[in-house]
Amino acid sequence: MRGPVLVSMLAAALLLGACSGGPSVRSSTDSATGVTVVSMSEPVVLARQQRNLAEAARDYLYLGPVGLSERGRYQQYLWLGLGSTIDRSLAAVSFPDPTTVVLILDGVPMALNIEDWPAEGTLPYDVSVETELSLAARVTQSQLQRIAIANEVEAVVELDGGAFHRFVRWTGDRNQWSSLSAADVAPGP
Amino acid sequence: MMRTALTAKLAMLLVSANAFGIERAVQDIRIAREDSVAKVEIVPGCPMRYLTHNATGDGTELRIRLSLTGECRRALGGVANEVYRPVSGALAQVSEVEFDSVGSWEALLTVRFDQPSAFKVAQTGAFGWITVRVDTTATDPTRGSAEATPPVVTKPRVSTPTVRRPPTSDRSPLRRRDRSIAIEERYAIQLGAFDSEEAARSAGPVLAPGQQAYLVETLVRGQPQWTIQVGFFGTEEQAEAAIAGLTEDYPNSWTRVVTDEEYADAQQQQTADAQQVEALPPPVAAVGSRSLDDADLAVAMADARAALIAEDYDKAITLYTGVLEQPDHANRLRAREYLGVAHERAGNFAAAKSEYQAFLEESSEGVDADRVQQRLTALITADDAQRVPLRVAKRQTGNWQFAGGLSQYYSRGVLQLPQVDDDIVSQSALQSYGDLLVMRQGERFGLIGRFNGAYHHDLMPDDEGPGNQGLISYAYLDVNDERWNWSARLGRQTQYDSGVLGRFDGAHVSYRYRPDLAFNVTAGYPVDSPRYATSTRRQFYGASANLSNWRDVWNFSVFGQQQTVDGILDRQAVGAEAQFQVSSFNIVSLVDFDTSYSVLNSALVNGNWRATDRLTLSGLIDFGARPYLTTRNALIGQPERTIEALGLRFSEGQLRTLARNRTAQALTYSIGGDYTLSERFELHLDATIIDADETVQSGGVIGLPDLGAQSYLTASLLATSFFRDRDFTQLTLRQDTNDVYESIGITFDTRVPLSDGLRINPRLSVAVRDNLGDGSEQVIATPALRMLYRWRRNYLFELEVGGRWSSRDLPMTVIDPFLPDGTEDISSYFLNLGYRAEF
Repeated sequence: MRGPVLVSMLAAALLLGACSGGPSVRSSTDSATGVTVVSMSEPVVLARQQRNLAEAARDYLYLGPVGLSERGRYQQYLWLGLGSTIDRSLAAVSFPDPTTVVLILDGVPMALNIEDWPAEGTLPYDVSVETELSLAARVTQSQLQRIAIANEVEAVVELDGGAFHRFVRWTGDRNQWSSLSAADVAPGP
Repeated sequence: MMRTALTAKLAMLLVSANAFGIERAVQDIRIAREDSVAKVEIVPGCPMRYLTHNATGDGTELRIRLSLTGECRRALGGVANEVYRPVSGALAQVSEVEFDSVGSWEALLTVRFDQPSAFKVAQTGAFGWITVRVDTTATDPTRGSAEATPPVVTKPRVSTPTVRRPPTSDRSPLRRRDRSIAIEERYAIQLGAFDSEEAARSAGPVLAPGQQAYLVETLVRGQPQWTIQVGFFGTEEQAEAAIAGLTEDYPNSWTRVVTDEEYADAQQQQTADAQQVEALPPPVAAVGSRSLDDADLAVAMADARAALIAEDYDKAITLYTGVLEQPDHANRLRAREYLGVAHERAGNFAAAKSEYQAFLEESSEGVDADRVQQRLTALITADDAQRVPLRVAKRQTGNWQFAGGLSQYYSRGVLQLPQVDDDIVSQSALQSYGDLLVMRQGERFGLIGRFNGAYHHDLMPDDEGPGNQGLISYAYLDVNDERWNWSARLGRQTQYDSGVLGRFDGAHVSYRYRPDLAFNVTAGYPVDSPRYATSTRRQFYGASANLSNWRDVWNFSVFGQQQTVDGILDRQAVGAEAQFQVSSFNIVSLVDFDTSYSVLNSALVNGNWRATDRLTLSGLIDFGARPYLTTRNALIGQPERTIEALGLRFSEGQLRTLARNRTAQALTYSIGGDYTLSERFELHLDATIIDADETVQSGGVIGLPDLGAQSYLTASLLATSFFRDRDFTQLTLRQDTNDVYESIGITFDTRVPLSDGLRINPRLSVAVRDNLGDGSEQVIATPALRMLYRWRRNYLFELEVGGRWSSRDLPMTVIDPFLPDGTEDISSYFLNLGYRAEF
């Protein structure tokens, strides 16, 4: 009798372990638009050091998958938040305004069609540094999978006039990105 | 209804004055016509932004994608369909206009025409009107489709409306319905990326029926990358199904959403060069397509340089680009810089900027980086496309470039002592600084001239201050011969390698035998301080060789040097430096051995290791003479100021003995770590131990005892955006232990931007010290406030005030008549007020 009980407990523990190790997904519904926003618990962070402006401060690029569901239609986006802890007030340098963003995944470019993140004041992720710019790019599940498995990810942010800024990996986990799906949309009230 | 003739200059104005209520997405539709061109202006009821548009193949339907602002989405409340049939639509052959908010923040505006039409779309005016210009003579479907391609119309433009609002509405009754139109998206598969269009074309896939392959050019760090795309699929699932058969040949592939512009461009591309993906011959071998050895690279660099001089910029760009495609090598940075120059001279300013920025990304310090920064600044300054830091603002005059600045500060210091009733002015001076950098890059020679000097005007009463002082830190001319690979720097300069111990007046000449191997000779007169003029009492000469990038990770140099003072040997040293550097690990070692004294002046190993993304560790071991052993050390503790004068009392051998006796041996260990806690917080830890032995009494100078191990421990917490967005705050704890005192202190330092150009920097340091000599306890507080204000781009004003308060409780055994309560309070204050102007 003890054997089946132990097996059951072990199975339950494994199940619990599997559950606790699964992706942490957040889902919320915008009461104004009825759009359900699904995101992971944390974005990944890329950083750009500018030692000519600051030693310990950096520009940051937050990346996180977002699913939007509205009236049964589900689409996936990549949210991009640009923030900085660099004080540019004395350097007379304005915060960069990007025109395009290209992710470099193990050396292969993935160009993103960026547009303004429309949910003004409502960000899909809580971030440590206040974002100056919030952008979105429509992506496929295939793209999220590719980002998730890439060994090296960096981002090249092109600016007006052809200049560019390179952001390299800082912190965050992409492993669970590809698991974000329409199934994560919480049922409506 | 108004009737118009087709030849009328302005035929008709038709607008709705109805309903400024925000509940409608389309506020007005205005149609006017001039000759054969009709203009349809669609006035949105809330802010929305034009994204893209595309037309159906027969030109009877125009779909305009719009982005809705948050205000618009809230106003529309998720409802989203409006259909209009303007009565005057015949003027523009418009039969229907339909608005549909097809997503959470996207809308589709569809304009349907009675017959195939040609049109251009733009967003105009401050209110974001959508303007569609319709060529009513175009009835050819092909023409209609072609005219609607994005390159003409993808960017919003501003124009002044030529129509006025009529008193009545011509809009048909509004019809609302539940949204039923889904977003029409197209999907494609990205198969791979290539550095050249030819390579991408030659790698084209075998297509299934109905599929279309096309190329997309993407600029990555200023360099074009060509990706192969296969389209088009109506759903993501269809694209996913198709990719399954391609991943074996193209492992780096994925599906993606295609924009309307890309789709239209792909259609044009297909028309223009259908079948060429497979028909093109293999790409012509370029420099970058094969691996080059050092000799090949040298030839390529020389050819590229020749092309640049011959103003064959396209060839120069091709060659330099090819060199850059090679793995890391010694010419990489130079090729990057000259590629930028080639782009700049060819008028490709954006590409030039990218190259210069890429250079600075790789190397941000040193003379080369300064030069590239100046090139970049000149470009940016020229078109004023981006503001630049004041420090690097430059002006370019022909081939000559100038940079520099002037600054003046008034400095005042006041000391209050318990034994003195009046304040003591310790400093009152006007300090003026000037810096000038002049550069010229010719076809063969590059010239750099630099002067950095100062004049301190002493405002103290007679004999109470140090007097007026002139200082020259740098005054040199640098010549670089590109053809024969030599360079020379003449004048007052500073060098801390190849055995040179700092500032000197003299010459440094370098010859680059190979890209990775250089030989140098240096000779001159050492200068202890910028306030000293050239003195010929001390002279040195030396030679060195540098081998760089050996096996891509090693740099080596060896040197030999001899120095005399007042005619006798001052220093005779040989040494070597080695550096090992890989991506996360860097270690530098140095040996400097004086052969005449047989003393190790320095044996140093310094390394740092980026253990993880968040953790960097560093360490240092340094053993050697303190100070560096030279015969001139014999002057320490003696009344004479020169070796010549001291030589009147001591022989050369005795002078050398005195010098050796004044010089201690010390061992320094240091370990540290930087740990990033989050984007806004970092922790720095550092521990240093210095152990110096005693010096020997001789020549009337007492020896210094062995001070034992002195330790310095520091822990700093760094925070950004802590009190206010983008501020910087540092909290430091420090403990010092040596045989003179033991102290522990805390320092708070924050820099807070208050507005554009204005920053304040308050700081406070408090330390508690146990003086081991007399057993007294001392508390020292050092507050300060610094304010910086930048006016325009070139002027910086600075005010700094601060003080130092010290209170020392004397032990009971010490009786001082001036300190009846047994406490010694000393205060001092300082003020700095000045400006900097840079050009």
